[in-house]
Amino acid sequence: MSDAGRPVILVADDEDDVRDLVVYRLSRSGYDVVEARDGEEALRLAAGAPPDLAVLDVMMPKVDGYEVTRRLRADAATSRIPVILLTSRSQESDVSHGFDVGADDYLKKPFNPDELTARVRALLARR
Amino acid sequence: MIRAFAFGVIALGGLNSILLGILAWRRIRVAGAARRRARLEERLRPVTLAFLDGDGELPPLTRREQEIVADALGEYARKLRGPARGRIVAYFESQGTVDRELAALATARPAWRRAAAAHRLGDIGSARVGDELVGALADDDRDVRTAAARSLGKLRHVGGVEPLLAAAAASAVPTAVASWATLQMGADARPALLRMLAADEPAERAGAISVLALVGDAADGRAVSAGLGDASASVRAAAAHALARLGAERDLEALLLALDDPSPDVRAAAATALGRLRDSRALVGLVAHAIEDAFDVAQAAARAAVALDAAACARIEATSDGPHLAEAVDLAQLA
Repeated sequence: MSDAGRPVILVADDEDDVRDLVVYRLSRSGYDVVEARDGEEALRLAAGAPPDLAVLDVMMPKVDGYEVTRRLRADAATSRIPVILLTSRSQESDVSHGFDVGADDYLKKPFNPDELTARVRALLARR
Repeated sequence: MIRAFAFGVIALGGLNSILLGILAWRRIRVAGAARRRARLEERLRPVTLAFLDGDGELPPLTRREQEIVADALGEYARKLRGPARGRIVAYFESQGTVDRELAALATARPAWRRAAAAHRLGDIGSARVGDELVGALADDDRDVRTAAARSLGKLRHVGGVEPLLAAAAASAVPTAVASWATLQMGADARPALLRMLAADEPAERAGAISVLALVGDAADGRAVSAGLGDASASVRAAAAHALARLGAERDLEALLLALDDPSPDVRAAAATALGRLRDSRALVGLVAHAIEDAFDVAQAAARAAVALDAAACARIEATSDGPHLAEAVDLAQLA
């Protein structure tokens, strides 16, 4: 939780426009949002102040979303952070790989921002 | 002579300086325009995001601002679904962009403009342009036809399935693009694909079977299985490939018969499909082809036989010739 008592969400995506929209939507829905432009930055932010939930793009420079998820799960301080993967890959094997590395949910691009907000809300409610 | 040479050198030097000056001036202008555009994009981002999120209408914009917002919405159109996408379509409809692009697709003389229009119409996502895009599959220019095929897939326009596969069969659009576009329609494309199994052109029948293998389910296996008896080897091969995914026990006999097809492509595909069915009754036939048939067929048959019963294949391989069976047994042990 942030100082204001709002859940903190980490959004990592190298596509500026997608990240901007997700950040805008989640901020407007009452969450505090921190942004990362690649997987490395996402891991650094998560290690510094573990968020309540992470929305990660799969295809990111430096460290991809699968690997970020795997490393979050491997660290005791971040292992319980719910992760939603955003993926433009549609193969079943890609989706199942996401779950294998520890993701809690996934959303296929092109995505519906309303659906993303609903899934964020549902995962946070489950905590 | 020397004076003329010196004059020439000075003239060339002067010309060079002027050209460098023009290049530097142009570069500064381009960089300035890029900075101004970036500032404008930054300023317009909040209203664009608010509009996409249903937070309000866009304020009155200058022509330049409209262009920038349209570019941004065009980018978002490729990445979003749901109400946000609907707002993008409504915006482009209200601005007359859809009508402008439709007119360009129908009448623009340069092919690149028609192709750009076909591409843009797919990105915008207005459902009413499907028929015009189907019409563009008959354009004289291949780029226009390919852009139209892509856009039909983006729009998931089911009415485009048959024209797309017919265009691919006639090599009017790349098969990969037509197949991708049809795949975007998912199971909705099945009725049209099943109708196409009776098409006159073998390439259309084969194309329909290949896509059906990806979007269909076991219920379509019977229709696909009938393709094993087609007069065209390419259709029989496509059917055998498709049965590797859609096949069921009822297809065993037909696939065993296909192992003796005159076409090696069909025999290899049938062997692979039999391996996927995991029915041990196919083992004897597969082993025979693994030992005796042509290279590709023997390799496929050997791998399929090992998938059915690796231990039996290892025993047979120890007492028979046939490098493919030995290779398949070794590969299975490595896996």
